[in-house]
Amino acid sequence: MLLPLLEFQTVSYTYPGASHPAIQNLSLAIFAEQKIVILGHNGCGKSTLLLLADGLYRCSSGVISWKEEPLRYHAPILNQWRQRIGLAFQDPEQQLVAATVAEDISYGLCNSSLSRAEVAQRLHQTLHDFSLQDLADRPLHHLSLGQKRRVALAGVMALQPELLLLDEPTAYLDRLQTHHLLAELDRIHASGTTIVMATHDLDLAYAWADWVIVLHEGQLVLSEPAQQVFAQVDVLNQLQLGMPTLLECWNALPATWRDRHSPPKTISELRSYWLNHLPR
Amino acid sequence: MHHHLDAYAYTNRLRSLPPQQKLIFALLVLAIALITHPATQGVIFIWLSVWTVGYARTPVRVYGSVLVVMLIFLLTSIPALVLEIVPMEQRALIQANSFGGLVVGNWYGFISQSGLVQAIEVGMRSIACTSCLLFILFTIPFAELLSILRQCRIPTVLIDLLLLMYRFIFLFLDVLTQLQLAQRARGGYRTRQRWMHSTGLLVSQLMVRSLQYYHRFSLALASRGFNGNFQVYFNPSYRYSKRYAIESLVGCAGLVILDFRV
Repeated sequence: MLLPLLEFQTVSYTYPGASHPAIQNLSLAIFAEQKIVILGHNGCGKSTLLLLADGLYRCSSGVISWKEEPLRYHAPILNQWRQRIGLAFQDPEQQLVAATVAEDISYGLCNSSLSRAEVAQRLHQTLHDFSLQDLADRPLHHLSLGQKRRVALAGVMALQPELLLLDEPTAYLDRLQTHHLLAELDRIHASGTTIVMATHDLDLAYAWADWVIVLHEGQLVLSEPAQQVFAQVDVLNQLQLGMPTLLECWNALPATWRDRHSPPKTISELRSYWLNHLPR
Repeated sequence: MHHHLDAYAYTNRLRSLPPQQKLIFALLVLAIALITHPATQGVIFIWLSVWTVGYARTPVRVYGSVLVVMLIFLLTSIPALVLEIVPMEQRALIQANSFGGLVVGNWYGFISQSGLVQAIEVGMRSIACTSCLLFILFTIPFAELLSILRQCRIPTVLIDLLLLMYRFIFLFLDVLTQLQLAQRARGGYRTRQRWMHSTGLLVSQLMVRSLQYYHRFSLALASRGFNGNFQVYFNPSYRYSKRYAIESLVGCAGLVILDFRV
């Protein structure tokens, strides 16, 4: 039987002074090599879930485990934990801590027990992988938002985590920057890293994810393969999440056209399908 | 994207010189400026301006603007040195030291000769020292200054604090700009009363936002394995320049000789 990489068992978390829990009795398993999206409205607990997963918040009740080993909140264990699980924050500005790009990427590496030579080697590899060589000596406050996000991601990936958590990675990015970021994430995923992305962008989730988790008011509603989640139109509508635009277009086609085909994942798939079925 | 003053430190023509060479040069000239006569200090100001504007290619307008801002602070201290007030009965005693003055009631206000000499000395020394500091500001990136401090075995906690302050200055400025723009867009500074109200709101919000930011920043540090020691990898490549080294050494020697002759 396949072991989950990360597992939440009846986890709850309440912010200090809050009357309601941000996460409530949540049980969830994340398996390796998946592209996972956490969907939900603002304030549904997506970011809190990621902070709990990285050990930054301590759950009020329940257990979080990595490959069946429960998380213990001791500094050395937490440091190891955070090397396996990388977290990229929604606002990259909060994550960048050093003065220049190269220094910032090296920050996490210097905090691990790597030798200076190994730090240098990994730094150069990361700068190369993220095409940041030209920006290496640039101060962080001279970068655009897209560049900052790339540097923040590079800083996390330099530690070669097995699981990458991303909090709204496409927020404030334009279409082209989003496209570049997704290409970068596909490359990271292809190298064997499991990715969990919190977003409220349904189109993005539909096009990118192969597993979808839906949260509502701190509780787990769905955790299923993407196709099965997006087939549950009633549930999504009940949660007022809506449907991905591509799927709306697909559903608007005559039922007889759609019968023998699975819904398209990209606009070009829809276009080619459309062209093949148009009366000549 | 913001274009802050320190951008010039990363793009100037002396960027490839080792920061140690530039820093030692600036500190040496600074030491000379502190002990020499006003005439030598004037020469120091001109020479360092040539380095900053001519060699490093910092735009004259930018260099001039920063210099003017600093000189305004200097000028505000000049009246206290130059102007003196004595009771009328002591007027005869200070006659030789006075450039002329004004009688106000039982008091006599005048421009003091010794005060003027002192003002010129302080002014010239400040201008010379300012030009040294501007040379450092415009030619040595802050990250490289920190690396020199590390090499000098300055306590790590002090360097970490400097780095965090440096990061926070720009974040603070960004928040300030955003808040101010938002206030202006809604007529926040229309009248004097609204100006006062908006400024108060701005200061209080800056405090709140800074605390919020601090919390998130702490989380980010923890997520990247912060262990109480702010370590980063630094391995730059510089080109030592014989030409600049010779000019700086000959120039410093020339300044000392000049000062003996003055």
